[in-house]
Amino acid sequence: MSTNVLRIESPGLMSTIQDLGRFGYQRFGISTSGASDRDALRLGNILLGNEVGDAAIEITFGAFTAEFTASTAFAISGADLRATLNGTPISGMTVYMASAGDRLAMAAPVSGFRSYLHLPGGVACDQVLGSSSTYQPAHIGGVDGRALQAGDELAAGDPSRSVSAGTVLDFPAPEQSESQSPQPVRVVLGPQDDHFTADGVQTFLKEIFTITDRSNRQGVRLDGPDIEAVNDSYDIVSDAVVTGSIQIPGDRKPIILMSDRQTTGGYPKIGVVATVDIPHIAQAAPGAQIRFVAVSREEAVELLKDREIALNQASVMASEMQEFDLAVDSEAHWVGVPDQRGMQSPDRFQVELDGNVHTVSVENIE
Amino acid sequence: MPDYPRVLNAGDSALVVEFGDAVDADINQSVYDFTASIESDAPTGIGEVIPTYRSALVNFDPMVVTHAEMEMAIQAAISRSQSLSSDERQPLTFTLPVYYGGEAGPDLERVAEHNAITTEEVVRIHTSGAYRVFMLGFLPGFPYLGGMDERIATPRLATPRISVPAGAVGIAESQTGVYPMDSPGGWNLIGLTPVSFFDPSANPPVPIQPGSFIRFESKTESEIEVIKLQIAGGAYEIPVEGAST
Repeated sequence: MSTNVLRIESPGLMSTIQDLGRFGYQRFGISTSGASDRDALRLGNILLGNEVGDAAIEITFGAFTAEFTASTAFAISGADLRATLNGTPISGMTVYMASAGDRLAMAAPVSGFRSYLHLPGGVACDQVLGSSSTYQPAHIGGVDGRALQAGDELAAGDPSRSVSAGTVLDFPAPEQSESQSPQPVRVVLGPQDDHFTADGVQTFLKEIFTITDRSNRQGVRLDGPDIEAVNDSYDIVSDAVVTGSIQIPGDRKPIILMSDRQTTGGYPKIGVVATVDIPHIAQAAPGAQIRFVAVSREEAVELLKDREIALNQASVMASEMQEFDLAVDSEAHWVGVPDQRGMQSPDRFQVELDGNVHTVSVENIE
Repeated sequence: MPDYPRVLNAGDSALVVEFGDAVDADINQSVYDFTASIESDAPTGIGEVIPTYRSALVNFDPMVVTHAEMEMAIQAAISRSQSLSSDERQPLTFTLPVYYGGEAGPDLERVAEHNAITTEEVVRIHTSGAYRVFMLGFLPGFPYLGGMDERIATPRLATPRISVPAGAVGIAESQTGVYPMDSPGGWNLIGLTPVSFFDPSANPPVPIQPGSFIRFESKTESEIEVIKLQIAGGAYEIPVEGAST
């Protein structure tokens, strides 16, 4: 086990270790769990040069404080929770170097609801069934299957990974159009939209819904007008659900199922949130308003493809920003580029030699 | 009434294949035949398949395969599953050791009284059935079992217990089941099995499979103690019948 670098002083509302989730066991009733905002988790990992699915600490709402117990790089992605290092405000999606004794605090949301704290190589954590994700109902993953507590000490997965302080990854926020209020959330109708009356579906797609404080990692409960089912029947023979499934139980108000959802459910599902919009839901605080917009399944896939392309570009950008230690032989001017795990070396870069800047092109020589 | 089987949208990365709209053994068997069929010749881009009472949810990666392509693969798997012989459909039966009554089954007498029979008859009836595992869900390893005899059906407790131990065997209305982990619960507890229904360090983490059958076998206290020792030593295997291998 490597050296611990971080000690939790206050976990805030809730902090858990999460990666991209635990897949392959849903038929046994084991939830996928994983980061509520998968895009934020991936972007933070890309920034630090981690594997995209490395584990991070998901911090909800704020009131979080921790002390670094050894020097390490770190970065924060996701919500802006007014983070400070030793009292000085720090930015999201930026690499910082912390020293032993430095204090990290996150107060309360400026925007968004969940931040991710990343360490080089991820947060070190034993895997259970192939994942580090905490799933509290089954007491598995993370630290002893529970949320983080004051006094928990954590290590970086790869403390030797060199990352340059100040590196920034500027990823355009997924069109968080403040102008469009409330935020539209795209949904693919089904599988049980036929359990609702035409009026019920219209209500779902036309009206505004408010996120309530009875929301958590399992589900986001909405308040709004009643959604009318055929024969007033809000029960089905239980079937499997996905993250983003929108079920309407007997109180006629929607619940959007999130990462810690159960694997099956007995309420009809009017639709499923498009995968690209699940981060919007994960980052919406209680009180936020949303409205649903129906899209075809093909449109939802196109939106997802655009997002994946943008994430890939961010990954390429991040790799190009890496600084390379160059070994230069002054006689022959051979340039050695160290291996960068999981990244392609750039084919052009600038080298400063004796005060003169040279542009160097690189090609493979067999 | 819709024609079954039918394929429904479940967002941008999954499809649901429905074989009916009821809790029914034949419909459930179709779900598991389909699941075996599509997994035996897994199409490109397919993810987890989650079989439940009357449908299977097929996850897939829409970056790799389109909805239309996955629908074609699903139709092919349905056709193959419908031509399976009865030999190929032989589901497994797991036999679980249970200690009935006493502290392990504090509601055994309540079940007997409610149905105006003796506790011995409750145990005899409960151990005589083979219960279909329609699906697993709610909690890791929680089996939704079908086929319990109405002669031992009993309403849930008016006040649920704050903590029910893992392995507790219970009855709620005309359902029977096993608690896979310590949790609150309102079922009538009639016995306890030492077999772990959820062990995250084991592979698979849940020893029984959905689509199989469970039988309960009444064991004495000393037999249970032996089984507990075998489990602790890693030497216990749940008796299984019908395994084709």
